[in-house]
Amino acid sequence: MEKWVYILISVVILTFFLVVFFWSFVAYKKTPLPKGCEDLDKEMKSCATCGEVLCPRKKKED
Amino acid sequence: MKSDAIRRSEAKESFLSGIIKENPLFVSVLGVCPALAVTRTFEAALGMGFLFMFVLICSNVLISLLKKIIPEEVETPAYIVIIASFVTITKMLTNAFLPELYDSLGVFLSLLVVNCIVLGRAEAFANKNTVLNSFLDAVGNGIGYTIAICAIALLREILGTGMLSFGKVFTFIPEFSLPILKAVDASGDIIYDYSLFIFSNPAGGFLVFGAILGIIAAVSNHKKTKTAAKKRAEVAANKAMEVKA
Amino acid sequence: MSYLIAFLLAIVSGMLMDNVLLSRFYGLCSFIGVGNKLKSAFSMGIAVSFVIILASLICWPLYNFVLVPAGLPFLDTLAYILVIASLVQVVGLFIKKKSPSLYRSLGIYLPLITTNCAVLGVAQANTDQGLSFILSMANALGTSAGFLLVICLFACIRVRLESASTPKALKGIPLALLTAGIMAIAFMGFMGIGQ
Repeated sequence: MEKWVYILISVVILTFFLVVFFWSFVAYKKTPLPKGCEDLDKEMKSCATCGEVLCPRKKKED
Repeated sequence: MKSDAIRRSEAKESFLSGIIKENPLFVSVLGVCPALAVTRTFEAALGMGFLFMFVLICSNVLISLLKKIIPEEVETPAYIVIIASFVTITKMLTNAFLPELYDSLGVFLSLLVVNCIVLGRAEAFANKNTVLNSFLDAVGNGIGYTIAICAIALLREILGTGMLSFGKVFTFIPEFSLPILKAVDASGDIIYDYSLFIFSNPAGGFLVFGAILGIIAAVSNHKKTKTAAKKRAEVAANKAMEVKA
Repeated sequence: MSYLIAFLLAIVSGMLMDNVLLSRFYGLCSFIGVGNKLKSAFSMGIAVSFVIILASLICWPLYNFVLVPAGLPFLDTLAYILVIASLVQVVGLFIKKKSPSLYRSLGIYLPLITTNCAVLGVAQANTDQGLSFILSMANALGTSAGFLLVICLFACIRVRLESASTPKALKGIPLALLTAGIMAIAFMGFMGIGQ
């Protein structure tokens, strides 16, 4: 196949992944926690040392 | 509007905190993966530190410039895309101008995309502060991280191979080695060799890093007990004065 | 038959000799932060393994069949992180909606997996070194197994460490690192296996 076909395909696929990427983040944040999962605080004692910045718990603390 | 003095002190604060008080590697213990992997030689660590600072500065400045345009729900994915683009640019530049550095860093140059420090400063600082403060924060953190990994690399290379080699990664410097724990004379015979090979190994990286963190914790604990004792003495002295009066 | 042996050998070497955490240094941030509960460590290990395998499965064809023929190999890092992050979030969506109990055990670790160096590291290394698909998957499986193994071992050791009397300055992360160093030395013993 010619090169421009490949480039077109890759642009389409990458755009698809980009859209899924943004959508998935927004959708994940918006879905509410299932019941009974609010009390997970006790388990994460190591949160202070955790370097994770995408952690939803760290956002809540801010 | 903030007065000039406040702005200057804020700027100074954001710059200095990244170096000592909130050193990203030694205090916040972030970005550990490259810190142990590229610190086998001093030169590689220095190179990694510079590239890290470059990526951090670029991403902090751009994110601070765009902070009013990016809506809040898509913050995190947008930052990831921005950081990934800068890392790709850095990779290409490094491959072109410093190919030995590119080879020795390997995958860890790409892993700057998911480096906790870069993403962390973007989310915690750059989207709330001015461009100048974000820039200074990036420079400060970059310097702090570079100093930290160079310290580890210095220890590992001296203890592990006995010599500090230059010129292997930054090939524009002529190649030479400083013999410290191990000396090799002109014909390649070893004059003396006190190096411990374990430190060049991955295991040695863990040990050196753990020891450094332990020393830092000991020093800060000592300081804490000192200030606590001082405070208690003050409170006791105040109470004594009150009783007298 | 020799393919099968090569495949299994690649997995074992990824797991023991060139262990992802102790030798290649990939998943360290999460490794240091793992608590002393074996069950949560195991759950996190399984989640990470799942993402590593799935991500490698998607990223290798993406690179070799889409990016390279189009002359865009430099977009690999960007493409991989898009794939990995969306994968993690989509998996998280499923878990949130379908299974609260699963969310209970590993929901907290899910955002952590996106920035886990191991996932991106394996995907990137597979294509940087130009491995074939079979070897890439072997690399992914070996990495997953190695990660799981070390994280569970470490959680068990941490339980013991908490009740031992150690110098105050060393408590917490420094001790974790020193222990990891000793573990790394132990794993170095595997280097003699095979040719």
